[in-house]
Amino acid sequence: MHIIIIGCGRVGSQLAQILSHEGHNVVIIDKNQKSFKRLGSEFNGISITGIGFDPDILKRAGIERADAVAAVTNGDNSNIMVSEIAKKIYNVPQVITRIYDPLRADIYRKFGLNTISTTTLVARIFRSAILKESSKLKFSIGQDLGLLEYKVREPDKGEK
Amino acid sequence: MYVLIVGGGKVGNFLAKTLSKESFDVAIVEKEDSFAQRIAEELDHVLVIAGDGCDPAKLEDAGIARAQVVVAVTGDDEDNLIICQLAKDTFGVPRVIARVNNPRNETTFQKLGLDTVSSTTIITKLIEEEATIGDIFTLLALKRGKLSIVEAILNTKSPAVDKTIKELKLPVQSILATIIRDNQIIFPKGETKLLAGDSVIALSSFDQESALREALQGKE
Repeated sequence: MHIIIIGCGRVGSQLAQILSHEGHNVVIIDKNQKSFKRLGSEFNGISITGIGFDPDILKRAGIERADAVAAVTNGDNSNIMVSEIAKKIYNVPQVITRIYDPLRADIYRKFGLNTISTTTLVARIFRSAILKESSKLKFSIGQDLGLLEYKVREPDKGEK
Repeated sequence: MYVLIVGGGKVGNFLAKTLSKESFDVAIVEKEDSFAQRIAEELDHVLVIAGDGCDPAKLEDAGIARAQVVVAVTGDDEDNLIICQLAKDTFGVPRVIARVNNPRNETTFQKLGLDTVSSTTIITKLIEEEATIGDIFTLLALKRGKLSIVEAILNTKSPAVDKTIKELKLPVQSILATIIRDNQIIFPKGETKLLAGDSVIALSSFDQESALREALQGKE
């Protein structure tokens, strides 16, 4: 797959490393060239310095033939803008948008973007860890859907 | 009419001032507290909200529900895009205008269905016009510089002199509106003959202006 990642922070760089290790064709874009240091030496994809929503940069990254775009910069609005360009102008089949602000994530999900609000996700994982729930949230999609892990235990002694 | 402006920099501030003087109801949302404070002190009849205009709750505070027009004039294009989309799609505001700071983003905005104003593009076009076109003056730029009303003064060397309008080879996307001759206004018809000293007022698309100039005043 030809995958474009916008934002080479912790998430973006790790995503790029994993996908390129799995043999995908990865292009990563970041406005700060120093960010690419995070990619390490094993990354064999392409890195481009520039603004992610600049049409020229996206064309250089091969957006016209991209199978997927992941927008993971630390700016919610930049992520939304890139995603809209990818989805509505270039018809990229798979576009995923990281949005910190849960409210905005909800609004843009309704507009048809595939948004992931890491804030909500992490808060829920923490909650379940704090409350030591028998079920652990492994992954959630939006606010309504999640994958839970249950541990089946032997009944305690004395328990009926 | 209720106008909501997002972004209280130079453009937003000036726009708020102008519109409120013209008896529009104006609200402005500005992210920086100090900026918002200053606008509130300067402008009496403007509702000032300090907060991020990309936050739907702040837009609601600013009365977006009853706004007929929303103008996003922050310095960040991505913010302007989000504000306009929220205004248009979430709040159903009838007229939404985005400022585009970087002209490279202009087509993106337009492809996503937003009306844009790019001062950089407008100024570039105006300067280009001034610089390239000799005796044609732009009286008024319409449709953000794509269409303009121009005035050309004919001299004795002009190829159009002593010709009737019908004999002129005018570009397709242009039309002669009026001829001013000795302070008299003439509405040109096919048989009207052009004379040296005439001031010709024409409507032309930006692309065809040089062709129009050539038809009226000849090549340089």
